[in-house]
Amino acid sequence: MSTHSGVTATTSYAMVIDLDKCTGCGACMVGCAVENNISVPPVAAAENRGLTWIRVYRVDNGKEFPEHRSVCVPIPCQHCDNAPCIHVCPVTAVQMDESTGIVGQIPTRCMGCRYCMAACPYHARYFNWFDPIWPEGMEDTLNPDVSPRMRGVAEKCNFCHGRLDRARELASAGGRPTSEPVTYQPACAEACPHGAITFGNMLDESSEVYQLAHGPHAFRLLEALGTKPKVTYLSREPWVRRIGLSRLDMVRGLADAPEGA
Amino acid sequence: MSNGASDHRPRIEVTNVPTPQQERGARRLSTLGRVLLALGLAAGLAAGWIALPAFLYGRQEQPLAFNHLVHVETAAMSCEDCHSFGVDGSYVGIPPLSACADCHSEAQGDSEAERILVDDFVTPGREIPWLVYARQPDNVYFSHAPHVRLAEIECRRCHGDHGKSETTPVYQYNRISTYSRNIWGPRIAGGGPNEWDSMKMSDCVSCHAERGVHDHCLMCHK
Amino acid sequence: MTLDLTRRSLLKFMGGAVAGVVLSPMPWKLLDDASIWTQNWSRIARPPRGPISWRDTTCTLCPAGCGLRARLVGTSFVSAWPVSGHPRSAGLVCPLGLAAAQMRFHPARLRGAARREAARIDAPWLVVDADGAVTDLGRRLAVRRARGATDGLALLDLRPGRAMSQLYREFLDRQGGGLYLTLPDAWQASAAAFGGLIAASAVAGAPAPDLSRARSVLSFGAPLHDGWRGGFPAGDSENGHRPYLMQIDAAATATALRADRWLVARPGSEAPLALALAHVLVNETLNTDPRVAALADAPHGPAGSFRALLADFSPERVSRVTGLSPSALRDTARELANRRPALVVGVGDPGGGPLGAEEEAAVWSLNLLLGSVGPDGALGLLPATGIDFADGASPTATSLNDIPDGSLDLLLVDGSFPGAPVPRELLRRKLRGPDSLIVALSGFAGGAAALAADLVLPTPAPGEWTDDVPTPTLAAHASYAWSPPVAAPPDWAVHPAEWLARLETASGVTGNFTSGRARHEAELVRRAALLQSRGRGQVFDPRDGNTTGIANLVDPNALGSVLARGGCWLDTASLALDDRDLRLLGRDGELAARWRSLSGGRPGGSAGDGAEPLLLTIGGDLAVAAGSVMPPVLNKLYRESELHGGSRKAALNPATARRLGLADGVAAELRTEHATRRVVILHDPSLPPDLVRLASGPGPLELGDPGEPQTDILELGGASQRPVWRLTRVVLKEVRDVNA
Repeated sequence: MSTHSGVTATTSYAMVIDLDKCTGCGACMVGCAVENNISVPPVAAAENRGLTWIRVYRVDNGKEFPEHRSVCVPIPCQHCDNAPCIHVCPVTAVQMDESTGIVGQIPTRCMGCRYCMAACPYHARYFNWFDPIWPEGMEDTLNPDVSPRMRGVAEKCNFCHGRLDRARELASAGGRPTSEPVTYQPACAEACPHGAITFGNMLDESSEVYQLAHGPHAFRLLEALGTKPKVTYLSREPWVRRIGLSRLDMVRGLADAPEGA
Repeated sequence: MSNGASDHRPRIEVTNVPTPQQERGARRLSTLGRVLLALGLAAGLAAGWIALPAFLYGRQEQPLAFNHLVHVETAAMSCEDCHSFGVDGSYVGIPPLSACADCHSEAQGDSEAERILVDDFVTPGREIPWLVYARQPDNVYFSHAPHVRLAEIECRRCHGDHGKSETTPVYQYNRISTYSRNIWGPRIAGGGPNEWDSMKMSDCVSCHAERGVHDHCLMCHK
Repeated sequence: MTLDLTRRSLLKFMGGAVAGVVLSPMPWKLLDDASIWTQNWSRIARPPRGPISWRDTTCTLCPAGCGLRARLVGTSFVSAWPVSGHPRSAGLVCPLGLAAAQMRFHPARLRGAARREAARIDAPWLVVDADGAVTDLGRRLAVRRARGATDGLALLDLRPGRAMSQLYREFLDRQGGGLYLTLPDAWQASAAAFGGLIAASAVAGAPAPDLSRARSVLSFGAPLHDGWRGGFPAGDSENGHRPYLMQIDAAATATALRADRWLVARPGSEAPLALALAHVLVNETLNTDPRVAALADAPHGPAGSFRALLADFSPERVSRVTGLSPSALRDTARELANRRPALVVGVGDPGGGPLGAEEEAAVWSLNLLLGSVGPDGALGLLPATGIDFADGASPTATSLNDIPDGSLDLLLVDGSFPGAPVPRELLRRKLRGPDSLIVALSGFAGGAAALAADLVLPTPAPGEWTDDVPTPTLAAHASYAWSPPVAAPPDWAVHPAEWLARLETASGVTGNFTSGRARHEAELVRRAALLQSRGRGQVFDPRDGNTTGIANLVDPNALGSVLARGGCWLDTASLALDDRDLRLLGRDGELAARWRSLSGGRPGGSAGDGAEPLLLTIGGDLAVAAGSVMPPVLNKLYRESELHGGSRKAALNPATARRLGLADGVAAELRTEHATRRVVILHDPSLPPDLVRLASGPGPLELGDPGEPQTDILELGGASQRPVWRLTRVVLKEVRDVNA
């Protein structure tokens, strides 16, 4: 099953989220949950036992009214090139697909130890504390491209792999070899009413994600940890760009720099 | 080491004093011991090889007996007339009722199966609840398009020759895992005489390995 | 020969058997199957299987009527996605629409006619025999008709202007008359105020602010980025992605935080603020168009001229009322004048209650002074040919606010808008006696309409029947669409028109139709044919994504077929408005006195007296506050994000909280003159002092639980007592008990 040799990657799917455009409406979270069969946890579920593949956080500048400013930050799995969750998983339930760059989580292989959740610096992994139960009859609204997970396993965003599968199927039916890159949109990008989420192939220098990710307002979260995330954020506000800095940056004295380049 | 049960008790002492012969017997096993062991072995093997499949697999009849041969030979239809690709590249495995109703809006012959088809399904417009032999578990992603269109693998490589079948075999399912028996194969040890007799993950993986296909969990799991 | 079988023999046999089993596949097979079973047990839901297909329709969860592309697996409607190029929604859908497929299986969905055990909001629902209920209602109607009564019967339509609305009115006609009621929301109230500035003799048209044509927008608390309707483009105004946005908002709403300029004005000071801006515009002649001066100087009889009125609203004077500096007011007016076409929108935050008619009128007058109406402006006027279907039924719409309390014996409520903000107490107060009934036609035992009802007759859920969606209030263009069904309704759900037909039959009216559904379909077809015969506008066909002129349709029923596959009719035409028809002080100059009376701001709002009362604002969209029936997955936003605090948390500025001795996280009692509610204090540095912000929407643990009523947030603001309820004084007191 090993794949780590001899694969010439033609695709590295990546996401760019423009925080200036995000209004915090939550369409990404709902679109994601609908697409990926994420159930509604029981009413008794405490806040930290919920389950979502993309969570919108609110981050503020620490000042009080009227200087107070806040920004909404949607955080899906960052699909790190150097993903801590892959290193810690004792049962190889997390794997990076060298041909797409997508970090995949295989729920049926997961044994629920939650090392990956402890290792993920982005809190982008979630645990099935409960059986995935929908209100009666609502199984009829599940997406057949995504299999519901069982209780007791971790799960996370996989850049809507079910949609990638559909796009590949269409390409293969048209006779295009599987090694050719296919384009598709994950549910959150399709759902975002403000076009804040851009998705595409980072290896294609003419792609919109490449252009945006290499623009002047781009930053990544906790880059100093060396995780090499594939999700890039954009903001024109210097204080917003500093939310990507970590304690490590402060140790290195970077946090006091006026703004990251 | 025989004789009546009534004087069993005093003989215990006797038997407890091993003769050299018995000593060897205890080390090796008496004839009876061998027989019992063999019987046990046979029973165990029978339980595992014969009784297990009988108890493990439930049997269900298909809603009606379908004759592939008559469609292919008498009606001169091709496989693609019913099993085809959709515009979105998805594969229509079992055709919808409408495909049947195209020809069988009324009975064309006098077979029992056709009577069931027309009376129970076509007329009331109810989809036929076929039991799918090749149904993979829900967490498996499989697309026909790359296998059929790109790799040009023949249908029979995985599905066998049932295009020539004259009736539908009894559908068997694993009572524990609920999977179709065709996934594991007719032999209880897995597989069968033909290469299409099992459709397990190892079968997918070995074929991929032979063809040098790039593998990754999410390729085949959803 | 007998065998001497000892225990030892048995052990030998067992040993052999174990060896045999081990040599067979049994252990490994059972282990394998058991491990598969753990991934597969029956408590894991199984998605439907089948061929994928797509069907276009229109969302009916709110009046905005966005295009939806429904994904079907076999016959199962599994999800809904935006339709790119749809003229109404331009490829956008809000979270409610994205989860529309879940509405069919909402836990509050009715499975038969249901009666409330008692007329209390927490009384349980009992399933009753629908035929018996209809017979009983029919008898009431027959008795009423026999008495020759013309009062006592009313029907509240939550989404007026539809084909169903026409059927409701015909129903009332045949019952010998009855009140056809509507409950204007903040948007409709705003649009109505516009009409007051136009001469009665002028050609009628609905105001249509077109944000895409404006270079600058001044919003009086309009939820451009809040709530669910957010169609306002986000991003960078400098690069032309969107107009330059100035937001007047007391609280740091999402819109305020994203605006280019956020003006924090005291709540209740909106009318003087708008008139102060008018003062600057007129007196500094910022709009050099001579017609503006003529408009300002036009005599209005005893009321004098608009310019004379503005003398009372100089920036210096208004500054004390609003809390904004005179220079901020002047700058705002200049920004608007410099970035024309400019647009000023009112509405206010519908979550915080509507603005008053005077505020709305002042806002619209600003648009007139900026020259926004007309071909070069951003404010269109929709011709009646796009929004009027000439249905000619006799009962005209009456606002629910305008009928006396205790006047109704039977109130039918249309429940096709389960999220409509209907104050329960307001409905209940209109009933005459203990025998009086509220009957909702609704798919759900929830939503404000059903929560106020004694009896609910079950109807199909959104997506299960063809409703029609007329032009949304304050939309930029006239449009019309149907919502062709994408799923089959369950057996017990009856088309609302069919309920009307059954009630008629039971009441002994020999109606001119026997099938309500057929009558509804005929009305839909009539409307499509009428639009097509008028020959105006364009048609968006979702099949190819193209928009063509209606003249290209050959078949007289072609528009109907396009609408039946989820298409949309669109008319971008705008009426011209003659300056001579404009009445800046109102049709009879009546606004002058009303505006002067508000020159110090609304009572209860701006403090002025130094007492600094706590003011309640409600964040979000009231459709969420009162409509507890929304897709269950929306609880992700309430429980699993930091987007919505939920309705149990009262947020206030940390300094204010400290002054009141309220620590972060303590339980408190929030009291207004209308109602009381238990809350948890949340210190929120984004809020200005002396403001308490209560999020609309369900509490974090309530979503999907139909038993929990949600109307009390409307009652807190006194929504059932007064039409303008933005300004509610609040007393917060810490509660120390074990149940806190």
